[in-house]
Amino acid sequence: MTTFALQTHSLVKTYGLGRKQIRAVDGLSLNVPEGSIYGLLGRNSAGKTTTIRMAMGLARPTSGSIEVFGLNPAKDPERVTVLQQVGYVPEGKASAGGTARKLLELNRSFYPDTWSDDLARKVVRRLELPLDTPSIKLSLGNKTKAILACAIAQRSRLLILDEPTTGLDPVALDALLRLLVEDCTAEGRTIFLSSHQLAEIEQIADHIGIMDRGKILLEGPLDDIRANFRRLTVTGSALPTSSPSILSTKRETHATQYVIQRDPEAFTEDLIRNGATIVDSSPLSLNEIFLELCRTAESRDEVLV
Amino acid sequence: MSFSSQLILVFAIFAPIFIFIIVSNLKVRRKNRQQELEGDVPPPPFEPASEPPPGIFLRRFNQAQRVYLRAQRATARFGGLYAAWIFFVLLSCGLLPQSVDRYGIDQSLPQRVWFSYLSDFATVGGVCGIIALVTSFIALSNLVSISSASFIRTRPLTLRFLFWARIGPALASLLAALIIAAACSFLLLLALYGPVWKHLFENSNSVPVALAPPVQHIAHSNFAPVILSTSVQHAGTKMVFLGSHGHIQAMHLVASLQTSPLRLFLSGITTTLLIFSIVAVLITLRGHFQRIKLITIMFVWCLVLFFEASVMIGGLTSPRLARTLFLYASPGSPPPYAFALIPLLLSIAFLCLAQFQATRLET
Repeated sequence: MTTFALQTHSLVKTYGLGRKQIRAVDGLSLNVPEGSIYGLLGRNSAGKTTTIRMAMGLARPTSGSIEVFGLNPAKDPERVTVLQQVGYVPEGKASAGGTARKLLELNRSFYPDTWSDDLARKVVRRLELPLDTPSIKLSLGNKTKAILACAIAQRSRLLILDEPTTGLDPVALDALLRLLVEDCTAEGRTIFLSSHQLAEIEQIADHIGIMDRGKILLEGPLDDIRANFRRLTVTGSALPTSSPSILSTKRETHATQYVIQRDPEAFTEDLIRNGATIVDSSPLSLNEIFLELCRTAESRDEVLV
Repeated sequence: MSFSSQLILVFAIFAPIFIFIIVSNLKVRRKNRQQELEGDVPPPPFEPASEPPPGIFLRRFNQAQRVYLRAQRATARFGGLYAAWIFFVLLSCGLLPQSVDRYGIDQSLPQRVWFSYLSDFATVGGVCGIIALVTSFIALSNLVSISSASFIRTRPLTLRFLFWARIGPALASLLAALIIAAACSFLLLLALYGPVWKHLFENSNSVPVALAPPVQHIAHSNFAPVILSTSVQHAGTKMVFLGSHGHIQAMHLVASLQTSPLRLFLSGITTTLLIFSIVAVLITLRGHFQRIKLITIMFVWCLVLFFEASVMIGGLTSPRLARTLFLYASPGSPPPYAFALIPLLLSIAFLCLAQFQATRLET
């Protein structure tokens, strides 16, 4: 039976009142399996950070529920139990100030049962984090590294990273991704990271959730998603215009291009049975899947408006 | 206060900041020079020291709480020391010769010193308000700001603990600063002038009541006004003749005799608590009230400044309001002790409200 590190059910979060009300998260249902590397993807203002803030007990859901290891993070003392098991890198990368060394020392004391000095030293070395530079003099990249070092070295059951690559150079980014895969998941820990940098997520994530305008558009294991999505270029007459398998249709001069979101083999067989010719069949990259989903959702919303 | 006294006052208040900046700069320069001499030495690896054994007070908390409390205590100690210095300077500047003679009236030295000391003690109430405002702002703004609070609010500590662990040391350091400054200034008064409050009748035209002229005679004479008072060192009631132009002298002497230093001190504490707690409520405003937060804080700031100005000018605050809130801002008749409970209870209520707001999540 799959156990979940993080789960949300019909989660809603609104800000503001009356006409100015913003629905940051709109009926979100997420399932983050324990031991997975889960990438939450979405455009700006998709609701990723708001979801994470609710998971970290920083914001209260307007309705619906959110659970971290089956506990409610919005309520003390359950919140404290949640926070003992979660490492967090916030979007703003704001910390307690001082030098990275002081920050590590401070954070170490909060997690005496799980903290590893060896892992802290390893992260510092790999990320080339300057330990004794005051926080106000640190670049954004080095601030990110300091917070990452704290979160990784505390060896929590769940690591929540909100845009963890902000300001990191390619070398540091590579080192970070290696650290996450080698040291975090090897011990069965769960990593939940949000980003709109698809390439880096694709490198390490095994589960994906794609959000747009507060809603989840797609969720599941990355391999299954890749297997389900396919671009078909088809010629023939009486081609279908709608089907649960079709995500989008693009009619060109001599052919029709389908983006299929589920069961591409069955859909292809149906097309061939109906006399269509498959000119091309190619898998979609995560980036293409993301773009197709976002565009389709946007055009659907425009039709509704 | 004379111009030279004001200059000394301003210089003395800001001197620790200048010294701190100069010393820090020197340290940085020395460190840089040392690094230049040594060349590129790699920084020492991350080798954290183990936690020192907790004292009696910290023993009851878990390690995470102890660490947080230690950090707060260190900050509070630093702030408290500076606040104590400011209070001490303000309380002691009344002992400067220029301040003692600032009214230019013909009184004995003990009378002038004691009145000057009490006057400055009273004005410190307003300063307490300003320092309480700043302290409350510093203590709580990092706990409720969405961006900067996300680190500490996601550590395994209850929100209630986070709030009181910030409020407690800040408030304690502020009150300790006031107590230390009051004690030190009083010791300075004793060292410089001795127990002046015991010598308020010396060198004044006082005679035992039995030897005093009849009241009708006094009323038509040039010796006005007349004070009846009980002197501690001279048994029995005495009559004090202040001279023909002595109404200011009389006011000062009456004020000196009526003023209760203990209640002045208590008023400083209640004012500090009240302003601190009001600002705490304003800073922790969340959600829809957040927009008006800055405006209201500015408003309270103006109120405190107005109060300060009214203390200096005198008579601007409503006597009833001052009495009700135990604001004892000038030497003279003290408010009854019972009224101190009003600001005290209000402060507790405001702090509870601030805690309720600070422990709420983003809505």
